[in-house]
Amino acid sequence: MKFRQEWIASYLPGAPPETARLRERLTAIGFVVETVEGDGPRAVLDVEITANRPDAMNHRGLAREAAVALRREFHDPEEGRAVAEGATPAASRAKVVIEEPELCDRYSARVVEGLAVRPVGAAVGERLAALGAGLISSPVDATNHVLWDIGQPLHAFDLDKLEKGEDGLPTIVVRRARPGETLVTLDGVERKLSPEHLVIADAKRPVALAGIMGGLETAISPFTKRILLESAHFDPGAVRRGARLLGMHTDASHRFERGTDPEATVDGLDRAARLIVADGGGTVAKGVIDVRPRVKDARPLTLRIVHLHAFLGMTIPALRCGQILAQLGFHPVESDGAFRVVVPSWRIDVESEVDLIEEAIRCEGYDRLPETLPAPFVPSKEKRAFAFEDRVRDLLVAGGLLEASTYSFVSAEENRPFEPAAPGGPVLLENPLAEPFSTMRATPVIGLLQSARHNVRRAVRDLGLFEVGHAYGRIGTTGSLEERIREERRVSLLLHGSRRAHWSEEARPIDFFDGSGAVTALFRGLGLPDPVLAAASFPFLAPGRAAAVLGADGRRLGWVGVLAAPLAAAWDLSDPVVADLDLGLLSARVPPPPDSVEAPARLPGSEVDLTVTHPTGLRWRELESCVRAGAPAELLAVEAKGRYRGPRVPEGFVKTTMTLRFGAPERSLSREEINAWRDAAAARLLAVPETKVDGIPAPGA
Amino acid sequence: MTEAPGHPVDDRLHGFRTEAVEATSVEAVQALRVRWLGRSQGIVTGLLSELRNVPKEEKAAFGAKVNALKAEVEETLKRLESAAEERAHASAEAARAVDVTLPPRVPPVGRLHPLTVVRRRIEDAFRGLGYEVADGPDIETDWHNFEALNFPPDHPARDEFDTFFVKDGGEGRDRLLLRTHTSPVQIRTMLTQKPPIRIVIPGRVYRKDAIDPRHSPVFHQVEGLTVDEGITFSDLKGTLAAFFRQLFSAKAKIRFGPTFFPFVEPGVDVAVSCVFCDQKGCRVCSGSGWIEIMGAGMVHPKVLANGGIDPERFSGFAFGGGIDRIAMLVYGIPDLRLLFENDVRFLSRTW
Repeated sequence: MKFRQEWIASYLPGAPPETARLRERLTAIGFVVETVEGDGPRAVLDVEITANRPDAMNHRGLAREAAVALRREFHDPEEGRAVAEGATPAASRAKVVIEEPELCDRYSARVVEGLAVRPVGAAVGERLAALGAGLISSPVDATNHVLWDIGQPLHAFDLDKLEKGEDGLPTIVVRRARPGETLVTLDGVERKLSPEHLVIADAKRPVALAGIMGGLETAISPFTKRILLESAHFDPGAVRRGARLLGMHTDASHRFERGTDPEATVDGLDRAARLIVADGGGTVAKGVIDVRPRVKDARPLTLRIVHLHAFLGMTIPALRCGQILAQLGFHPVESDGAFRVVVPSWRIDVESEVDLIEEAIRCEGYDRLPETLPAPFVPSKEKRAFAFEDRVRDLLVAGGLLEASTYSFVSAEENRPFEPAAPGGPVLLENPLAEPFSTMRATPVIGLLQSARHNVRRAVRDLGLFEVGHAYGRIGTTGSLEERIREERRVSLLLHGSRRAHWSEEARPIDFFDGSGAVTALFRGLGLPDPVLAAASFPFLAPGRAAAVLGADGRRLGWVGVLAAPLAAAWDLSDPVVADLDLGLLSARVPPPPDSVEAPARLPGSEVDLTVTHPTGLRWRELESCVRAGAPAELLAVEAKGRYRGPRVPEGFVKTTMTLRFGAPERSLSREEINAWRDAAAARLLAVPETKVDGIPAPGA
Repeated sequence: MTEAPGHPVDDRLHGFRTEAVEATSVEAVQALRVRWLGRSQGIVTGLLSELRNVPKEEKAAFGAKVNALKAEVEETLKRLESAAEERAHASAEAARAVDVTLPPRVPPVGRLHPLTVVRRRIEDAFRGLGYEVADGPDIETDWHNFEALNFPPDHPARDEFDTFFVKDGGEGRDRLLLRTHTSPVQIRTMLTQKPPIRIVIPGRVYRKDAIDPRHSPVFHQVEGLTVDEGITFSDLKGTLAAFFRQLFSAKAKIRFGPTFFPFVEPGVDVAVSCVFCDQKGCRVCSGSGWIEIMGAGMVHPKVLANGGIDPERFSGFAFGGGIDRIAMLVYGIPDLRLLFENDVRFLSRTW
């Protein structure tokens, strides 16, 4: 917000402050001066005024702060200045009725008659131009000047254009708009109104949007002879809702939305009236029409000095506290170690003792605040969010994957194929940045696909990426957050291209087993039993190259597979392998660290191979469970050694060589024992229809 | 027997020495051994059996010569054998030698995302100060994100947060939105945990900002909350100073400037002395010597009350800053978009 140095200085008696010092001091007490244009009295300061300080969104208000910051006197030269009034009472020229006292608790008006509309005086014109305000005519510019001077937004009506009521007086009615009413505002736009809009109406129709903008029809024109000046106090919420509904934002609405000083309406009228008459002649009618259905009581507060010191952890001398509060207009009275104050009507932000403490320390200076540490505190080991996610990250990084970070929202089209992977129905945004960001992702895999495409387009094809993040699902439309939305912590993986290309060998393209291997490695890293990989079908994965990842208890923990060909093509990728695991389910299954450990067996184990010819449809998992069923405890592992299809294996069959690893902690195993176990396993395999085991005669053969 | 100019055994010795010079391969040495020491046809074996025919008076001298010859042959063969083996081994190794300067077979090297690295650095610093780590959902209710944090409905302070709302997300305080800050976790924590509370909350937040080098609709914050009896404003300053000294440099200083956030009172902008130029002025700090890096303040009594904590008995402070921004500062990352693009060339760097 722009401020003119000379204008601020007009409230600081004595030599005007140096611009650089003014800038530094205002910033120090919370009014950050972002830029300064020009120098000396004409300098324009661009100051950031936070939303809680509408009282400082004008020159007088900021000057009051500057006075405290510079430890100077503050004086309002216009305070108490009277307006030269004519004999005709204003009340005989117009009437004001407030129908909505909750939304407008004060409407003050003055009438000026017999004036000529001329350009505004040079001094005022220069000030407004410096702030970037366009100059229109003396009455309008005068109201503008008051807004920038003391923060009271005003509006000037052409009194002769206001419709008269039954009593023959032009009437102002503060009311809600009626259904179907419209108003062409000063900017020439026709606004459709509803009862949600608070309007200023005359006897017949709306003539202004309360607190936002006036109407075109009743505006000041070059031919205006009589003016009704409006100076009101509106409910901030009412102005804000009205402005938002119409997508409007004006200097007036900016202030009303944040809160204006209800005591400033008449002062605002007087300042404007003096300027208008000075520029255009005419007479100010006698008295102010001041309709005020409700008066807010003065707000007393107490600041306990002991409390101030305890809260800050430092002392500020009571004398200094008193000075600060007095300069800010709080009229402090000290007794019994406390200040009793009355909150100034313009300080709508001050509500409680802590606000007074802020005033004191802000003006005293944060540089004085010491650095101390609270008493020691021992954090609980359990309360450490992300510890599990971080373990997962470290394991995947150790496995050679790069961690990615992608947006949580994707396009509806990108999301749609993955909807079955979401924790619920799609979660759409009401006001997305743009369509590509309209839908909360069903799985982080979508972001990884975007990342993969980004890299492939830059000729980086060999990729191993993962992301730990949330997946979102809609599970209900009513009730608590948890009854409507489900957010799951996931880890998603993507592998693409070939992973270990080297000049000494042919590059092997990534395939399903790289994906299931990465998932299994993660399980092992976490101390979980190897996952059960069950053939499954997912619409987004290639049929026959997709698996559900199951826990030992059969619960589905995630999935892994090759992306379905049409999707891969749409993403410009070739056979990417993707996986997605639910970290909530995974972390619940992670065993605690061991509390006792057996030493590994000292004696080497023995292994023996079995080669089985079996129908292709017979899965490894079935072969393995066949071998394991009824095997002795000495069978430690069953591993796949090789698969063979060739001329000597019939069509529809495959030869699988399995290695059976035996061992016992305390003794060495004899060849006879091992062979007997092997033969028993072979017999179980042979019991499966259509299987043959090399070197072992089929039963009955 | 006739006297010859040289003793026949001496001649044999000369012969052996000549042959030995030629025997370099394992095979040649083996042949030499057979020729000289072979059990049936060996020359030395032959000489020994000739001993029978030597006249009695010459026997001793002849025997001594043959034994000396045998000793030398055996000794030499042993030496030749080990030399030949060594040579054979060396040539086998030479055959297997590689050009060690050829590119190695490098297993893929994984990396954490810089945001993870920075988050952990932040967490570590705060855990050292006694903080626990908490999190909360990305999709929040209006009440948790705004109202409980002292942003009344229709309050202009909400303008600072261009909020994404969930479609069909309900009305009023139950309205669903993407959290605009990690602060709702303050409320969630206070509602479930009695003081003393010391938590940091790293997490994802959302604001409807167009994507450019300095803005992203998705970014990351870290929030902190301390609530206990007797927590002071000075404690806030000391805690943040300690944090930045751990994160940046032991020399880091901090500066508070007054500002406004509805959920704290007083509210401050926290600036840290520019560690990149020692406050001499550089591009990072725009020549000011200070980097604005966090917002903070004393928890507003209304917020404590909304969290079920008696503001007359307890006080607290809260702070929050951008993890992405800290990452950009720490690593000199020029464009925020790099953090979400996942270009492998970027992700493969060390952080």
